[in-house]
Formats: sequence, structure tokens, C-alpha cells
Amino acid sequence: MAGTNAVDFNHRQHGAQQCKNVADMRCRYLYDCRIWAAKNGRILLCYPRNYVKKPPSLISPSPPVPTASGNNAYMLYIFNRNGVCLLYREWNRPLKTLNSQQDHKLMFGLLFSLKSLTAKMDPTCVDKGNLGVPQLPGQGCSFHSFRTNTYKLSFMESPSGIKIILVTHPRTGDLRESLKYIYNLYVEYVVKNPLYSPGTPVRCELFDTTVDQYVRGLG
Amino acid sequence: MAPVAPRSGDAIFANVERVNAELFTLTYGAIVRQLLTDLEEVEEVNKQLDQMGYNIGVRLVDEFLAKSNVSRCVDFKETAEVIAKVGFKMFLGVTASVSNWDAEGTTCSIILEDNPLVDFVELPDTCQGLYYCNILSGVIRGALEMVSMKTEVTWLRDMLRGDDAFELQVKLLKQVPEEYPYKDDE
Repeated sequence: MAGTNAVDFNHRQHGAQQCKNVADMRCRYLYDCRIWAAKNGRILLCYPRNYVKKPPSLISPSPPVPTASGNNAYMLYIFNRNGVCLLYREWNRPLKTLNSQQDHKLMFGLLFSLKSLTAKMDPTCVDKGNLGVPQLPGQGCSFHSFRTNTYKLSFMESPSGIKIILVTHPRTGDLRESLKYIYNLYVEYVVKNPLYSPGTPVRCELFDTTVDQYVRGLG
Repeated sequence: MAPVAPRSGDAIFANVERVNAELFTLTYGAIVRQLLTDLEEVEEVNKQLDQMGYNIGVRLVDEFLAKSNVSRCVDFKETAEVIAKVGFKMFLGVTASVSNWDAEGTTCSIILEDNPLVDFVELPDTCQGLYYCNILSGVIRGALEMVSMKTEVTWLRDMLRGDDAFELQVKLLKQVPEEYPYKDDE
């Protein structure tokens, strides 16, 4: 089935009976339908999800979520110390100018340079290395956010080099505690997962859902 | 905003989920036993334990940083203190002490009086040469590598071999600052 004209609600036509592993109130993304299936396999509700044509993301496929009024955040990136983008979540990003790879590189490069620059320009620091000489993560002063008229970017870096970036509405307050919480979530769901190889992009649905839920609750 | 102070090892230890000590000790014992059966050579087992410890350390460091709120340590002395006081307390429930600093401050000894891994353990004659707790040296090495420090960790004293305490020597080989990972032509 083509699946591009997903307007009708007849789940039988979409092959709902092909639902495998029907579980208790779990949502199944089947072709263009969002199906809620009850424990006994009965289909309770079936409606087409927001059909937004997106280029396939090789990093972390994120199902398009309709922006609710409580949804403040636009995007989330998590990088490791080698520049690998471990996670990219997107909730509200109408304008996309670069493909994923370039976008991640740009973001990482931007932060790398900003960190270096802010540390070198620190008026309170006695010892200044030369501009361009890499610093140890967490050393010296560290910037934590910048704001423009359309968005605010909040940044956190752990001493182990894990960088968490959250882009939100410009009137968002200080998100340092929230970023720490996201780091905790990363530890619980990703690092502690024995089947996850460190240094590779994260493919963990539970982590994605938990992060989505948490970010949606941010004021 | 004032920086949040690091939490002491006791406070975190009280808050994390804990597992039964005997279960932990017996599980570790089972692992070592199985390695001895599979690999037969004591040196191979030592190396494998070190490698396992390394893989654990690489992941453990993130959990440590997330739960303990320590910021970057200023120098290696502070690092060793943090490992002994906060790290060991948080994960093993025992506090270690640091001593025997060398002149440059790059080598120190971490001394463990009490080690939950070796409860009930006695090394038989066939296993002389085995570093039973070698996983700990791997863990420290792996964790420090993720915070840009290349180290070498060896055992100086081992209670299972008749000494009075466990002593780990941690030697800092070099600090590796992070470099821009992408090539400039991209």
C-alpha cells in the first residue's frame, strides 16, 4: 500500500490485522496509522498521524509530534567527545537548511569554538592558553546558554565530554538543572543498557519517549 | 547561580539503589571462576578482568558524574581523592585512602582496608599469580580515560596474597585534551 493518502479511518484497509505483538494500550505506528490496541487485540482507536514529509533521519528517527501549547522546546542534541551525535530530537523546526550530517557538524563546531572563545575571553582567569589550543572538558569557565530574538540555546558539558544542547523558546529561564536531569536520564536509559555500544548513536525508544515527556513538561 | 557543591559519597550511597553484598560477592566470584575455567591461564584471566573493568569504567564514569555533581578536578591529586572518597564509597560502599604521592604528583596509591569483592575468598595454590580484584584496576583506568587522563593502574599489595591491605598504584601517564574531531576540508 502506498500510504501517502492516509485520510481514511478504516483500519482494516490499512491492514490493522497485521499488527504484531499487540500489547496493552501500546501505540503502533503502522504505515500511516496510529493504532491503539487493547490487550485482547481489539483495535480501540485508529487515526492517521500528522502527515509531515520529512527527510529520513539516519540518527534518531523522531515521529512528528503535533506541537501542543505546553511544548516549549524546539530541538535537542546530545554529542559525545568525538563529535558523534548520539541523539537528535526535533519537536518544532519549520526551517531546515542543511542535511542532518551538516547540521550536526555545524552545531558541534559552533559549540566547540564558543567554548574555546568564552574560556579565552574570561577576565577572571589567570592562566590563559593560546586561542586554538584545546582545553580539557570542564576546565576553565564554561558558557551555558545564548539567546537570540527567536530562540534560546542551552548547553551543558560533562567532564566526560557528553554535550547536551537544548534549543527552546527565547523566554525560557535557566535550564541548567533540566539539562542535568536529561544527563541523568541518559545515564539511566542509555549508559546502563548493556546492549548499547558507547560512542554510537542511541536507538532506544524508551529513552526517546522519556525525554519527550520530560521536555514537554518544561516551562 | 552558585555552583552546586559535590555531594559526599555517603549521601549518594544512601540514595542509590543497593544490591545485597553477598549476591555481589558471589556473582563476582562466579565470573572469576568461569574465566579461570574458560581461559585456564592466570595471566589471561588477569588481562580479561582488566578489559572487563575497562568496559565497565567507560560507562561508570557518566553515572558517577551525573550522581555526584563533581566538577572538573583541578589536578590529579584532587582526582585521586575524589575516586577514593566519593567513587569507591558510592559504588562499593567502602572508603579508600590515598597516600604515597611522588614528587611530581603523578603517582599515588589508593589503599582499601575493606573490599567487598573478596569476602569468603581464598586463593588456591593453582591460582597463584591471579589478581582477583583486577577488575577494579580496569574500572579506574577506563573511567579516567573518559575524562582525558591516560593512566596505568597496578596492584602493589593484595590481601589474598598475604599482605595486610589492598593497594592500587595509579600513575598518570598523560592528559589528553580533546581535539576538534572533524577534518578541516569538510
